[in-house]
Amino acid sequence: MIPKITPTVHRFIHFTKYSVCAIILFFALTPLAHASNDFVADGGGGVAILFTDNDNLSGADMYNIITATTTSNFNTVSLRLAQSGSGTTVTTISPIIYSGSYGGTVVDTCSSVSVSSLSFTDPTTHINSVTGTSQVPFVNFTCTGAPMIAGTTYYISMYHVSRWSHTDADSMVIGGGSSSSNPNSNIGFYPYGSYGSEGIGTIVNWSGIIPPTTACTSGSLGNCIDTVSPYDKQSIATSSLPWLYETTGYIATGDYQSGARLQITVNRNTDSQSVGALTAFNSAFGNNTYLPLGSSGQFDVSTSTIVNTLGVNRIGDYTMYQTIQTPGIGVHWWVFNFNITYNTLVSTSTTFTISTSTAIDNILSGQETALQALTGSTGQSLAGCQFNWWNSAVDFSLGSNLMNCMTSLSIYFFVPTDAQLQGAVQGVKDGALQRAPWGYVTRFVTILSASTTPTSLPTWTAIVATSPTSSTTFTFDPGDMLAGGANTLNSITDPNSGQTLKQVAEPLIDLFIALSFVIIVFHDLMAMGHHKKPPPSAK
Amino acid sequence: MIVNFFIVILVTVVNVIFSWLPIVTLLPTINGFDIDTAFVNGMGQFYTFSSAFWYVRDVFVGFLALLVYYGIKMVLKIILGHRAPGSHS
Repeated sequence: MIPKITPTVHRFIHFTKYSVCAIILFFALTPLAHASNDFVADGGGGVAILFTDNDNLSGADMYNIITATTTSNFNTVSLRLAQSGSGTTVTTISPIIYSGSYGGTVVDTCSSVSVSSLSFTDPTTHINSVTGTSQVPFVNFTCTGAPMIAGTTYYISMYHVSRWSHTDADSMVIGGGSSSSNPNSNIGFYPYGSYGSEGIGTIVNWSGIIPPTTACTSGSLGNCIDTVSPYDKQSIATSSLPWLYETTGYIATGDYQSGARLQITVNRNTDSQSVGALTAFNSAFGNNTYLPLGSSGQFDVSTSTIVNTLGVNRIGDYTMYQTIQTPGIGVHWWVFNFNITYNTLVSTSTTFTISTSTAIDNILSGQETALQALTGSTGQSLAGCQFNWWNSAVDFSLGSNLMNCMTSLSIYFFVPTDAQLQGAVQGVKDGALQRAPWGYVTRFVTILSASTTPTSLPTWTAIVATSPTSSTTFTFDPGDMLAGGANTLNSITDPNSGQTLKQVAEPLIDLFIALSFVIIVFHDLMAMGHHKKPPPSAK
Repeated sequence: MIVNFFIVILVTVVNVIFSWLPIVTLLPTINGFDIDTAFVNGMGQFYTFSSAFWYVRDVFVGFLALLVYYGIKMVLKIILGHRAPGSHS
């Protein structure tokens, strides 16, 4: 028997509806409240971000973070990196810009630049040179992503800088050169397409002294992962297996005491599942390695035994994910994610290669080729089918490898690959969901989804006659209004934790929305099968 | 491989059943009013707004979830008619 909806539940549902409306109305009116005094002038090509901290990337201390605060809104930026000293660097740099906190929401991803193609010889005499020619002191990164909001502090991560060959005389510096005669007047964020010195605003000048500390070890910027082993793009010989996986970094005392741990996940990029699918598979079935951090402050943990379904024991490219986590209740808006989980404090991913081919590698490779020819599909792996019982340094027990082998084959036979699933979904979409009348619904959902390109709000202009011979023009730009409102909203922080309003309120709002969703759906499902009373006139 | 084989058969059958219907890529224009462009512009402006005010998008995602729920109900009702759960014949 389906229970009746009691008046109390009805009142709660109505309260929920009105509360949602009230929240929407309140926040929607927020920008209006600040529209009068926060009309922000268009950037007009000037510098949009000023550095509030300068840091260096020298030697092994290349893994650094800098912060910058915007002074106006803009959509696309270019980040410049300068080098002092002489010599040729060999590295690839991929900056990432976060908002809120380091390792938080990724705002922009920047183009990777291979510095080895540039020759830094004398930056002091080529301070205004154009990128692309020799003796250029700057590396330009074009960064695209969400619009950046004035007054917001962003964290620019150079963590993905790979190791580079250098001498003591070389260093890579964000914030200026190696002497006071080399001012950093060209260091900063620049509107897209503007690389000259024109239009550059006030810069927080670098004093010429390279900061000696690394943020990741001092903890001045919170929890972070400093170094990992194998390091990014490292090549490992099979004779070096099993590898000692080592991680160093910094963990705050409070987070350590709450039970922080390090999670390591290693996937072989050429396994039968794509990396993303295998990561999800490993996460779902617990194929992660968890290590206690040992102590607060600087930590250094290592292990030679990691969990991996298919084994890290043969040649190929691997992706390693390292995450520092603390226990907590993950409250996501999506109703099915109400589970106790771990919060990610900071994470990173690197790739490494096991590069030396062995006899068993060659045999398995031939078998894979035969299997792929038989099935007509590529990407199948027999990585788990290694029975190296004759080599105790590499392995293992026959039983565990047999399980790995069977797991590999089971996945291959019964679990469709990402490409296959995407092909099936795309097939249904093209063959059925894009045809009338469902095609209209599909198009409507497509427009509502995130595929729509952001469009500027229209500007309103009114011309008011102030006398028979003159008039005054009033222009109202909602973009300015939004900028002012967002500026005010983002400036609200909790005095104790330092968290922004978004960090504090968003989980609660998501929880409220999720609860509302569940109640509405539950109420609707409970109403199914109930016949409404006929109106009096029908009697 | 085995599961994918059945998925391919299922997709093929579904596509054959609907193959006689015309393909729709845009919402219609009625009496000169382009509904598709109106929605695209409206959503683009909404995304601009929500890029500054994050909670608007959070609420909107909840609204989308409800839309999906009622969309599923609508499809069931169209296909099953009065036999759909909750229908009153």
